[in-house]
Amino acid sequence: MSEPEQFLGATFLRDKIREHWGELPQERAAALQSRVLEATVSAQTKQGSASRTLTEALAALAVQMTPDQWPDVIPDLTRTCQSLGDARLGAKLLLSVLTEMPNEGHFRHPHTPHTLLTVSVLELVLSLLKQGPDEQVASRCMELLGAWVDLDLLVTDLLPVLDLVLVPFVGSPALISVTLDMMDRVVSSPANYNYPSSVLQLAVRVLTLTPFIKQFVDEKEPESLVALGNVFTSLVSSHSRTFVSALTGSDESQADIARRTIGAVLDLASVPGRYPTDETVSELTFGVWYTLQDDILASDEHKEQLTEQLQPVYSALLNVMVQKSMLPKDPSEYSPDEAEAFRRYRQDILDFYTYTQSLLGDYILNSFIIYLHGAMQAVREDPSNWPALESVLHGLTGLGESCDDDLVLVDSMRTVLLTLPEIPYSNNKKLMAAALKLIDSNSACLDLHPDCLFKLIPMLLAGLTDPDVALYSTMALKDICQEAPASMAPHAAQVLTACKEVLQADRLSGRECVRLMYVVGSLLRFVTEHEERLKVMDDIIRPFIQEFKRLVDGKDSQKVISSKSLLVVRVNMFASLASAMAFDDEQSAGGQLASPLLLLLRELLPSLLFLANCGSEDEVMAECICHFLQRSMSSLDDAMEPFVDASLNILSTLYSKEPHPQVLDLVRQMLLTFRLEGPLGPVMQQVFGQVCAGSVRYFSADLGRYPESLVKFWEVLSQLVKKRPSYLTGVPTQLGDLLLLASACVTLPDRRVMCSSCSFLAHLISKAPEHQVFASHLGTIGAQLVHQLLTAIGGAVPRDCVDHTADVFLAMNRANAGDLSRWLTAVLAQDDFPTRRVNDADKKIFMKHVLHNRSNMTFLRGKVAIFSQQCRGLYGSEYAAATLNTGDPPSV
Amino acid sequence: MAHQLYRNTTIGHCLQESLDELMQYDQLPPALAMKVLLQFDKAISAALANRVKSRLSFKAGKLNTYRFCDNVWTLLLTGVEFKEVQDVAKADRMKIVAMDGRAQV
Repeated sequence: MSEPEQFLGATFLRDKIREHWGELPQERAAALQSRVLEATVSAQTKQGSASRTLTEALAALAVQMTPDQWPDVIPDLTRTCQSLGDARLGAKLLLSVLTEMPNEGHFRHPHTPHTLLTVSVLELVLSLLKQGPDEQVASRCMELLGAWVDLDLLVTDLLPVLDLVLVPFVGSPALISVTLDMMDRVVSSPANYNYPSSVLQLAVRVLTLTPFIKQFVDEKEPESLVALGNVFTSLVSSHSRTFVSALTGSDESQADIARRTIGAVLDLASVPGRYPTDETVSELTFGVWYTLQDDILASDEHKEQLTEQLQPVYSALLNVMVQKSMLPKDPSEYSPDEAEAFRRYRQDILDFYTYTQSLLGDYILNSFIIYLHGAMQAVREDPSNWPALESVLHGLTGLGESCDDDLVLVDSMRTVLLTLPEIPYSNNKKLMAAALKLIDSNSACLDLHPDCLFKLIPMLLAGLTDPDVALYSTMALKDICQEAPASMAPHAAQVLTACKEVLQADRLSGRECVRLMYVVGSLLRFVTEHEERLKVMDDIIRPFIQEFKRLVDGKDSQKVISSKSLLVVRVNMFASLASAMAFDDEQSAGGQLASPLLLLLRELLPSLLFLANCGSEDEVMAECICHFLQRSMSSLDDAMEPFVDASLNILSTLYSKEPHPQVLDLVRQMLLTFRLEGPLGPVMQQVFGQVCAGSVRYFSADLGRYPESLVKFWEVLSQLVKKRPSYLTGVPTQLGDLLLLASACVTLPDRRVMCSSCSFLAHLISKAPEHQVFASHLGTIGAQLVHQLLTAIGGAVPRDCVDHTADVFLAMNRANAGDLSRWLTAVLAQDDFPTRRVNDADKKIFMKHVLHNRSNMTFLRGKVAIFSQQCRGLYGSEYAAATLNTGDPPSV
Repeated sequence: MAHQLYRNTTIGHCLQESLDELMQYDQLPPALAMKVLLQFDKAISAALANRVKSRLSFKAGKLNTYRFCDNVWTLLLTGVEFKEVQDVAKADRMKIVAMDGRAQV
């Protein structure tokens, strides 16, 4: 027989033994056993692909027959393997079969007794190891132990093996990997959780590997170091409570074991070299410190004692982390992937500082202040020592972001902030960027200590003029204006002047300009004199308005298109300005518009209309225009009323050529904010009608082309039906088209479209009793809608969406049960509808459930789900039951 | 058995829809579909644990709700800001569902 044939045969045999053992007559088992043994032994000499599969088949057979039908499985297998004639080959086969046995699912059944078997296996392994086997057999022994470790194999059982082979095998290049793998499984085995003293005995054995840490570092073997690191970190992480208890227990020897083990993990965290080019093992230790800390903080009565004991460890760690977090002097040392890995590593270190604050309190910030002064001195002596200082500033940034509520920390941070101007930057961009980020992270603290800004504002403004660090300056200024606006009051004039110069110099990127406009808008509130405020606007904002008008008002659409990116930046700048101008203002004596935002709107809206006309098909352009209008509305609220007409005109123009979802959102906002009965009523109703007509035109032509817009459209209509149904009653001629469109969307396979259209239909139908026009249109399309809903249930939409059809059925039943009954009867009378898998009895039951239930949504959804499974031929299958609840895990 | 948490993701939904369709047309028996789903649970857990290295920081304005039941954490946050180097993205609401990756169901 050819090798592929043998392989297929072996695979078939193995799968049959695994999955269809119950079909074999018991009296044939013994014969099968001897045939499989014979075939497996014979295949070993050829070492083809079939030999491995036959080994698995033999293992599966042993598992199925143990212990009743095959009580002496180990001696029998040993005898059979010895019959190979080659002791080494026989040992390898025996070990392979035994290694496969724990992988058999049946073997892991809690009621399968295999304690005696485990003991036999362990004795066999120990006897083989004592003979001094060759590397291949030794390797198989380690693999076997790793596979059996989860099955009643206690640490105490393994200790003789570990004492015999652990250090020699870890010292052997051929065996180190498989041995450490085995140890990793041993230390993480959940079976040891209940035996803390055994864990400490295991730790003693693991500690014998500590000298290898230095050895692997010296011999530059990072992979071996990582494998060793996994063992130590898994040991402490998996049993941190045991180690913490040992530290506070009365047994000094146990406490010493715990201390030395934690010390070994600290050694791993401190291995010399840069991450990730020289070493990757330090990253493994992060989880250990979090787990230890959690157990320390949870231990109420011993918390102080533990903190005192472990403070030196965490203190040493802080020092190590600052070293490890240092940037390379030459950025080209890292490839892009390595640079990204290092960025994540630095973020992990920041998370460590923040987390450890709960344990160390203000010790950590005080330590950083000491580091800061030390690093500053080092830079003064030699500017090339900047990485340490940058690392300290980086660490302080993380601490600053998390100290909002802690007044003691906020006070300490004030000291740090006041030190920043004294740093000798020597035009080092990295240091300057780190300092600016630190100011940014403390923007909330500046609310409590605004005096710091007197020293920090010059730094921030100097950063604006440097393109390399302007990003951080603008971010910091913006965040300070958001988080601590009152603190900026004394500096408003100075900052506005600097902003004007920088914006006119045109050296900032688009995003930086947008952020700076927020700062300008925010600071205008502190310019209380109306004339002074107009002058500031003229100086800073008017040039941009004029530039914008120049580009747009020439009525040259080609020019607009070619200047698109600049126009988008400018509109976003105006939007940022608008979002910052959310402050109340009094009218001037002449009754003219005094709010700067109102002045801005009056200037810009006509130009925006033309821009909307030219760029209505461009998504980016539409988005930025909507962004500006939306920000203006948020800031002005009702005061926007004089400009609603013009704004709606712009939105209608944008929507005339392309159904932008942002336009729909803003239209909804305006229609809900302003009264339909007020002076804006007619124009709002007219725009709503235009939007509906446009939507029907776009979506009817191709339902799948604009899914985002379609979803947004139904969401908007749902809200309007709920809150202002008069908008829809105001478009009676379009209602029919809207309902037909919604009905068509019910059978779309796009989950979100289907859900949103069902939601709209349910809301509209629920209002039918109050509004005759709704009821009348429902009467016209009712049968068609029921047909669509049943098509969806039958298989047109994913199963997890059919719930939403229940919402529509419930609404229809409440609105007009008689009509629903008639429609259901007519539609379900069709043969093979929704599918051929449901018979008349199933349909009758389903109809009964729908019609008899007018209040219990959960019940109806359940019945719809069952009918859907019946239609799809899944009802009663394990698959259907397992995939019913695909939402969040259940809670009690 | 691995967690079934990730069935409620885009890729999980797509897989289930594909399996549903194959079963509807009698091209796949339900038992095999079940095996595919179980394999998906294992594969996605392993892939997320071992092959995904992306990191993103976020800060929330408010922790609205926290719930720990059946070893599952559910956290609802509002005013969330995601920061990656220069970019900042915002979300009004965020829901985190977290299970212990070491414990097995």
